[in-house]
Amino acid sequence: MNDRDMASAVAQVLETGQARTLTEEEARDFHAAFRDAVGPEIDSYRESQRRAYEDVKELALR
Amino acid sequence: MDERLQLHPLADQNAVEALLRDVTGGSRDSRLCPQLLSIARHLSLMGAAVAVSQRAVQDPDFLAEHAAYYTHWAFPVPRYCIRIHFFAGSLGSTDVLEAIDFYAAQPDNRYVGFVTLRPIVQNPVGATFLKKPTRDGQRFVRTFDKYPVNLTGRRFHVDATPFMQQDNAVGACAQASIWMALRTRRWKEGRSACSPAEITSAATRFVVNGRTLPNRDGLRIEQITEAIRTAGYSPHVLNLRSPESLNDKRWKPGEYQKICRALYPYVESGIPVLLALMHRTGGHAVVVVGHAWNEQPARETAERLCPDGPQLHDASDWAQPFIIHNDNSGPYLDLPAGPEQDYSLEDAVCAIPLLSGDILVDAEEARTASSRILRELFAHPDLKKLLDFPDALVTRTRLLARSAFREDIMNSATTTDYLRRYYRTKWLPGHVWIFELHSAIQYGKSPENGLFRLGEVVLDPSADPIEGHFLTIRLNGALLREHGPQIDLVIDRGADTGHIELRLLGQ
Repeated sequence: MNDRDMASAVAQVLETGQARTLTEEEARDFHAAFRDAVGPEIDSYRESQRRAYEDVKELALR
Repeated sequence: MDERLQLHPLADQNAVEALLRDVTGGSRDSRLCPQLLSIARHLSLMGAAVAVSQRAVQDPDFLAEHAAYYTHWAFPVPRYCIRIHFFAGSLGSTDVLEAIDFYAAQPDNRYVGFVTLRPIVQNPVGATFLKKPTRDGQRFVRTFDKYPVNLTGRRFHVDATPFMQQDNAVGACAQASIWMALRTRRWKEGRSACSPAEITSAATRFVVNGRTLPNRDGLRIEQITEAIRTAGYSPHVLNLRSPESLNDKRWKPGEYQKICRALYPYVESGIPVLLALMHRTGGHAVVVVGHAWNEQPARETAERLCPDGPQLHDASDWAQPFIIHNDNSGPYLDLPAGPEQDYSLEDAVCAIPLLSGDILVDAEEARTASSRILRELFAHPDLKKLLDFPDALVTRTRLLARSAFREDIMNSATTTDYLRRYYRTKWLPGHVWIFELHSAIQYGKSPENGLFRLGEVVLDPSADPIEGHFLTIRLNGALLREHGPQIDLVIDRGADTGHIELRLLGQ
């Protein structure tokens, strides 16, 4: 994840104490980078849950 | 004269058992069913000292069962139930109405709950609302509600998780468990109640694998999800252990912790979880309603925020074992890790948390997204020199209603006024996922009091976690090298605009 902009912004706020707003481009980059980083992990989790459901859906509880 | 209301002083647990045996028509030497034995034990622990039995009760759940099934019998099955109310403390009068008035007038709530007894010998325990265990015993029942109970013109209240034994004609353990879970969430979610007969009807609407009445074959997982979906909840099934792995009962390394971590966020959030168990005697359903507390857990695994960052322990490490309602053995029982002759967590195949239909992010997704945000952001080389993380932190993931989250913030002793103002005025959706960071020092002392929360990630449970649409990321100044605990770093994201603003609160 290319989080340099966000991390730099956090560092800037901590060092100066001044509030800071991400530009639209910075925010877009943050979301895009986050999507790239976490997307595969969550997609893989969802796929494993879907497959597991197929294995258990006909189990009877009585 | 057989009066409809009768007063029964109870000296001890044996007296409770004797009363239940007498009311259910058992002889003095007969054994109570396991559910009633468990109920008697719980009532004794709750200090039940007096009972009021109430005959000819029109219990709506049994009336629905009766209309669906027993009314077709040539043999006349009674429609009415017996209900027994329990009170703690000394007997105020030997007259039943005066005694009820006495308890109603007490400033402390002495009502312990009630048991409804069906006129069905094999399955007598109908809708039962018993006061949840007290926290003194380090047992925390999280999925409960405060139920009003009207008795002879007096109103009492009981904090309880509804319990019921399967009827075995209208429904099996699956229907009983769904009923317990739905009834727990009924008022909190503003949804209608479903009787066991209605649950069977909803479950077998599209998928039928045999006759539906009598329903002794129970329900399949796919039928359970259909019943839950019909009731307005998300048919979300969490995979726990594959049916094949149950043949080798032993836990694989880290597997037990993983399952506890999967279940705990829902339980701690007050969401009942239907647990599907595959025991050697067959499939069975129970409802997870709470957890005990282990001050010094044995941990096998802990993640790190980054390679040289703090260890992250999940709060579920302490919250064991889980507490369940098991319709065939009783309410508020521990579910051991296993191996056991009886049911244990080792038998767990899958779980179905009763998530409202508008919750589109599950706990694992919320945890993954939140921890990833923290990991990627605060492990960055530019920030390391500005942070002061301890060796270990505890993470806790919860789904809270907006109002509950704000109350939580208001009541927290370690929250600054600036942070309170921030969260009280920030726009939030109806529910939020909270990924909390706590100090690991003395976390084991308590799951609620004296916690020192050091930060959190707040997520919108209706947004896709992949998009990174967090609402707030906060780190307390105790984790920042140049700042103290009176300062909070807040990364605020406007839910509607998407604007991200970073600031220090409290300076």
